[in-house]
Amino acid sequence: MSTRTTHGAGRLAIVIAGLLVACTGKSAENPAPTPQVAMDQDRITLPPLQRETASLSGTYAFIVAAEDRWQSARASGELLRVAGTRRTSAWKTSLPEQFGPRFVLLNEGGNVLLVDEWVNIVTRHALVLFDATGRERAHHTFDDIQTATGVPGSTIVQMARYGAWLTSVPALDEGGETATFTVGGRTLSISLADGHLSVIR
Amino acid sequence: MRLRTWLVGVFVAGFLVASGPAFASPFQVTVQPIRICNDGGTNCANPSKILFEAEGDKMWAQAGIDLLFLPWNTLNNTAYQNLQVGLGGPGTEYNNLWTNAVSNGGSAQTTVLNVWFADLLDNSLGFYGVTNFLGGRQIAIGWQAVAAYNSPIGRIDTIAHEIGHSLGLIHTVGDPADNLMTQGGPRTPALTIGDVNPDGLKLDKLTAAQIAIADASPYAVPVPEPATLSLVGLGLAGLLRRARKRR
Repeated sequence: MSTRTTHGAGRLAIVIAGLLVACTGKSAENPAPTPQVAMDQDRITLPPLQRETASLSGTYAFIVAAEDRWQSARASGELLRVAGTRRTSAWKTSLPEQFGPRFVLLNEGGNVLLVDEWVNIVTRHALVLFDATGRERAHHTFDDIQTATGVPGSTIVQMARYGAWLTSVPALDEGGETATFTVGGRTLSISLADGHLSVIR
Repeated sequence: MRLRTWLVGVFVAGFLVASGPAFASPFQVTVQPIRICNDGGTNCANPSKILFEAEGDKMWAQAGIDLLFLPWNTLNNTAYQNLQVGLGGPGTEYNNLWTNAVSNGGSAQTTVLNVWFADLLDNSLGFYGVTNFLGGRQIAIGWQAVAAYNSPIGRIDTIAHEIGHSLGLIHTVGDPADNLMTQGGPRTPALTIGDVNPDGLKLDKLTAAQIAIADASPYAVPVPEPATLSLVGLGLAGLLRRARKRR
């Protein structure tokens, strides 16, 4: 091959390389901004500064409140005994859940079950049970729930409709002794007496 | 001499092909981060300059996109530390910020995404991030909200989520908890890189349709592949030979 041909091959390679790069390019112009409020956000709705749950007969009430008007994610929980118009505090404590729990279940014995966190999160506070004196009787994590169901964690999240793991809203039975909920296609129950977790089906 | 030229070219091409893994991502998205500080240049948002780059890279690796973060810029403006976003229209602080992006520390390059880190957006710990519009390149992050989520780790996917809006992705229909582009409330972010899809809990997923849209974005700039570079290498070899011959 002659010198001239080699030089031409080199130039041709550069041209071809340049064309290949140019052909894979895309228009980098921004679309014209619209005057509408078409923003795209990553945002959650914060809970009210105070939420209250009552037992079936109204004997007890449980209040979840922002500790500092949501300047932080800290919430407090307070159990009240209700007698007519008189409300007496039984106990009050800071809660571990970010912005408080997602659900609160309260039975006639003053046992309080806090379910999940307000934010969607693979949580360390999936189920937290307090008795009427404010003593923590049980504390189950997402991993505990996953172990109990035997369902892979990724499947649990994929099927979740409330938070990161629940596929149903938890509900108390008629006697208020047991709460049931569905997770990853399984139905679980937790005793409000001692926090024991079991799979129903 | 001719044989040597071609050998050089083959060597260069072979090297570039062999180094393929170094060019594994066919696209790159470039981001200019800007921290908002007070007027005196102190008390800046995101004091540790956290970008969740490794986590974001893994999330966007699903689309063959690598995130390139430029060195930090700073904007000294006390008023913007608690950035008013509101409805985002003209007259809001957020709108003023991004319509004057360059004078507020942003990049003028139309292929670069600007990401401002304020302390708060609309004074809310629930407001993590915002993109000016679908396909827009002006993002604001409420750092205290991001940091408060699962503190002290933080919400590792907000920046990647907002980049998704810049790349043309709307919030995922049906609100699946495990998708990166699901809106803030129903989305379950990975807490660690080990739970980002395809690993662990397989969170922050992208669908094939989402990947196609993102890869077609003008902000996803193609990275030259080894085959292309090998042609360049051959051309350079030819030029080198010519230069030697002139001597």
